[in-house]
Amino acid sequence: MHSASYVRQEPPVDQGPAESWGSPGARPPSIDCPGTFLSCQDLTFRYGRAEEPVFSHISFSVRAGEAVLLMGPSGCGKSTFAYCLAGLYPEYAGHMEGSIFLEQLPLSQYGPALRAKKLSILFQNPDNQFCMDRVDHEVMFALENIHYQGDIRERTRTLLDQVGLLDVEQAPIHTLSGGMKQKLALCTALATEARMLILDEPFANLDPASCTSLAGLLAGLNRQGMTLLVVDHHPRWWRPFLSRVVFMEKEGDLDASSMTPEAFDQGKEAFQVRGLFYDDGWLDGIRRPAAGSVREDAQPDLMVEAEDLAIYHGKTLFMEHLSFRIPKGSVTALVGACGSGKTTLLHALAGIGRCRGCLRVYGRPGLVFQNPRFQFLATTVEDEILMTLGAGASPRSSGPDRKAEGDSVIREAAHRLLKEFGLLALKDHSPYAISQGQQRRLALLSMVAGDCPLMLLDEPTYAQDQQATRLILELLKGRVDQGLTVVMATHDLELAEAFADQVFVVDRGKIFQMKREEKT
Amino acid sequence: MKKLNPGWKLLSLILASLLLSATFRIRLNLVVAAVGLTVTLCTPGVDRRRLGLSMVPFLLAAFGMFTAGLWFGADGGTGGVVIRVFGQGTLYASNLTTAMQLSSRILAYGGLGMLYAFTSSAFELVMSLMQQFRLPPKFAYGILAACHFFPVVREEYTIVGAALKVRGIRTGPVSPRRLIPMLVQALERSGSLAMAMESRGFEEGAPRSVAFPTRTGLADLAFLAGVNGGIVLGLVFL
Repeated sequence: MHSASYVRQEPPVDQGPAESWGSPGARPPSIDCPGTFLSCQDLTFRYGRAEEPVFSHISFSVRAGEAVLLMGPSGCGKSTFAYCLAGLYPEYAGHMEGSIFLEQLPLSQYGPALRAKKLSILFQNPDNQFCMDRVDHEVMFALENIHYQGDIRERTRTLLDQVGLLDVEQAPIHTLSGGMKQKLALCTALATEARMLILDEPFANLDPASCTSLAGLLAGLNRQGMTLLVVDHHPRWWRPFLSRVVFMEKEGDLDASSMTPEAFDQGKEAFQVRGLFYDDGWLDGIRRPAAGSVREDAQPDLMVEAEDLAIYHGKTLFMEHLSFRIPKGSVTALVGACGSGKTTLLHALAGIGRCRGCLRVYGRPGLVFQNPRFQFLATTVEDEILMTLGAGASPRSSGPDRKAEGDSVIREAAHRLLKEFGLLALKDHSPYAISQGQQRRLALLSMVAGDCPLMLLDEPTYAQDQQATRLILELLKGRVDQGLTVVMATHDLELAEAFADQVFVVDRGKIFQMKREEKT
Repeated sequence: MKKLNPGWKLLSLILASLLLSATFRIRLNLVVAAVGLTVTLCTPGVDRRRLGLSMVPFLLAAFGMFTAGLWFGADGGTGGVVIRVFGQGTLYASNLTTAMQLSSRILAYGGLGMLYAFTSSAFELVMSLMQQFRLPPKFAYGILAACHFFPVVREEYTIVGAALKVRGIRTGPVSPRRLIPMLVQALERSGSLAMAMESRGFEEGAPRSVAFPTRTGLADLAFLAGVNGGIVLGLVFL
């Protein structure tokens, strides 16, 4: 086994002042103010006419040139709000009341082509936002839409150069990494000549290097006057060029509680009471589980043992000469760039990937996928857990009374687990209709309920707020203390360092163990 | 062949197929199949192995039609000259003719189909249908997006199978448990994609620039007239 250091990525350095509109506590301009670019008044949205509103009577405004970060707990309606402001809802889903203004005109008066020249949106999932095959074709498609009159090919090359994608001009889009796909989405938004970008968790599932690169690009655009409204769980990448942070609430005037950079340093409490990330200080309370420390000289009880292992992605040899050991009751973190092979390695450990060589797994593995939607089996959150618990229930109970008694015990156990994972209130919802963060917790719970001794987690904290992340880590810690072995792939190196007993860096088909002293 | 306008080429070959469907000329069918495959083979850049594999379903279908025509001829086996095949039974020449007519027609369609499929780009076809045949852009870009999602959908199918396997559930290739998550994903994707297209300024009926022009020339008209004129001549002389 080799050892290596993992390069820590820092947020982009602010090289110039983004327009800051005021002192701490000052209110941003209202709709009537000439500088207001986008605003809403009395906005209420619900997905079904009879349903509880996601938010109600919300007022909010963004001034031209601002970079505003919208934060809130998982599932609080941030993305829904962003889609409303982008003019996509209620056309595509739900019912909306209230008004949205774009440059003093009602948003509903803009057609898609004209609206795209003013504002564009980047989605959380970069895979679902392209309709062409190649990088250059996608940009040309956007230029066609706005009826661009100049040389389309020349303009395409200029735009691709601007976001650093000229080298992959003719590459098929599905071969790009997540970070490159987000850059391409950004490029298409620039092609429409949009003056404001709404970004819905653009860094979800990107590695630190991609985040740095994309954040630098956005900081540069903001300096040139681009207005940004970013929905994210962590202020880390945005702080250097942020105009203010806005907290998503169920109702009311969002601007009233917004926080300027000047107030940011004293505003930790505002983040903490809402269960949101403030900085990396939240990791201070995170401790590695007591059991499972890995020492080179010891011979611990092993859960996984690999010797000269080769792993395939489909039919292609992807990783080879892998040798590592994972002790029982330990936490192992896999870190590395997008596409480095973390997921492929997890799949191999779960027994669903093709591999060659020696791989011994001493226990039934459970796997939580990057996209947990693929692993749901039932139509309600409660049934999802009941199904897992029912599968493990004793088949000996027979007769209607015994069966009813068994069902009641299982249901009680399911409710206990749902409460522990903060999902009891959603028990009657469809697993597909809850937020991404909640889906991830549900998928984890499905696996935990299955009593697997080895838990493989692919980005377990992605799309979670600080409170939910802590909850997940505490739940895992409790079970690791009872003997569970955890292997998790993550882009969060700080989290890996704080929580894992051993950290493996996955890079170009190899893995290297990161020594503790090298990590600082 | 690759330089022809894909929309006009498609129109030419559809007309040719209609002409063939109205006739029973065995020689003509075989000539069309042979010419179609020869021209495809001679076109630079054609993957011959893929071409061979793609012809397999046509060959199997032709064989099936041949045997069906041979054993279950339309005249009930009462007319024509008696012959013996494989020493297995009494057959009639009229049935052999029917079998040849049916199977050669399948081969002719195969030849024309391969000629089109291996010398045309789906992307250019959609662009041509939009520019020359008034296909609404909404459908055109919808079709393209669906085509481009095939690799992703294939990968998702594997992932869903793996996810179920991890939970200890064995499913068949078309099990609802496997298809429902994919269906949900497909619905979400179609919604996301429509929103993404709109946020990139796509608007039905709005004026658009043309980034991918497909033009029609004399060669396209000559191809249409040549292929269909040739078949008409074949109907007369073969």
